[in-house]
Amino acid sequence: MELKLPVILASRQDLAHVHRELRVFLDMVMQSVMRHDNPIQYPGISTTLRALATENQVDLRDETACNELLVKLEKLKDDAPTLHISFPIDPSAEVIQKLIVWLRKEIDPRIIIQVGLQPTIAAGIVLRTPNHQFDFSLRQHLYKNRAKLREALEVKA
Amino acid sequence: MTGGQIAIVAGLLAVATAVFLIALFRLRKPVENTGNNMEKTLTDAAEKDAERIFNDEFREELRNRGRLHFEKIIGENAMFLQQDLRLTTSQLNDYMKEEIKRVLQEEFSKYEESISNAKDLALDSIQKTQEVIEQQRLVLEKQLNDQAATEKARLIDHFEKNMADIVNHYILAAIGNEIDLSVQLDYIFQYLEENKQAIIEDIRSGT
Repeated sequence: MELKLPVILASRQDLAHVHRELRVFLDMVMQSVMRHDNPIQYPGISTTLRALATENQVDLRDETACNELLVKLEKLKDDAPTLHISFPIDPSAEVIQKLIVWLRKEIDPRIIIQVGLQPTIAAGIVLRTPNHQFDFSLRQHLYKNRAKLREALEVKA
Repeated sequence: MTGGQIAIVAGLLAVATAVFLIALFRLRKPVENTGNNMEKTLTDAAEKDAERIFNDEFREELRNRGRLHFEKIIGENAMFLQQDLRLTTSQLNDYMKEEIKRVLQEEFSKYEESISNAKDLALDSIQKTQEVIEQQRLVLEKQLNDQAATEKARLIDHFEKNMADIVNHYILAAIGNEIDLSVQLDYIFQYLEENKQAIIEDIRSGT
């Protein structure tokens, strides 16, 4: 079964973070078992890990399921399709989530993004795939429509 | 007494001596035939007479007469010479005036002619220069207009090429930190939708 990524897990850093957290979680559970804690002491988990577990219906108390999740996360770290998106300003979580929802629905459910900052684009985004760059910025929009700009200027003149 | 007067007096004395000797020679001729004694007698008498006639007083008188005569001649000649000199000077002045006038008139006429020629040449030269300048002006004007048109076209072309950047720059300066990405999402999703297939293909080929 393929791993389902929650909306909150958007970037490669989030993926690495949740992978590391899950591994630490398993180590701490293992240590508690070895200490014969009763009941077993489960460490606190982040919202991202909780969302990932919920999305994939994984019981974090199940060691086998956790290990499977860890393997899937490692595999995803290696081959998850990545998009680099440059924004004119630092994007809010809401914007990122909306974009992630659309991208995972329309492009690839495993997709993750890297966020960049490029103030000169003013508005819109610049999307970079492994082999191509899609400029959806206002600058590009203006460049494509420069004939209309010229007509507007000529009318003004 | 001047040296010239002395020379004149000496010359007169020499003339008188010669006249005397000639007279003596003529007187002696008839007695040649009478013999040497007769001749000697006459010669002695003549010498004595000459000595008696041309004594110091007579010589002084002759000398004075010669001096006066010489002074008279010198005065007359000086007067004539002065008259001649005045006349010559007057004529020379007239001649010089005429010559100078003639030469000056010739020179002035030549000068006027030269001036006239130079003026004509200068006018021709100025006219040609003006024509050349006018031609150059027209050529330069044309070049300037062409360059201005080219520069204008280049600026317009440059402006049009960079118009998007310029407008973008002003929009960026105008909106500054007021950029709200959430209101741009529709616009972004529209572009994403338009390029969805290309993105999918690129991701598949890249992974």
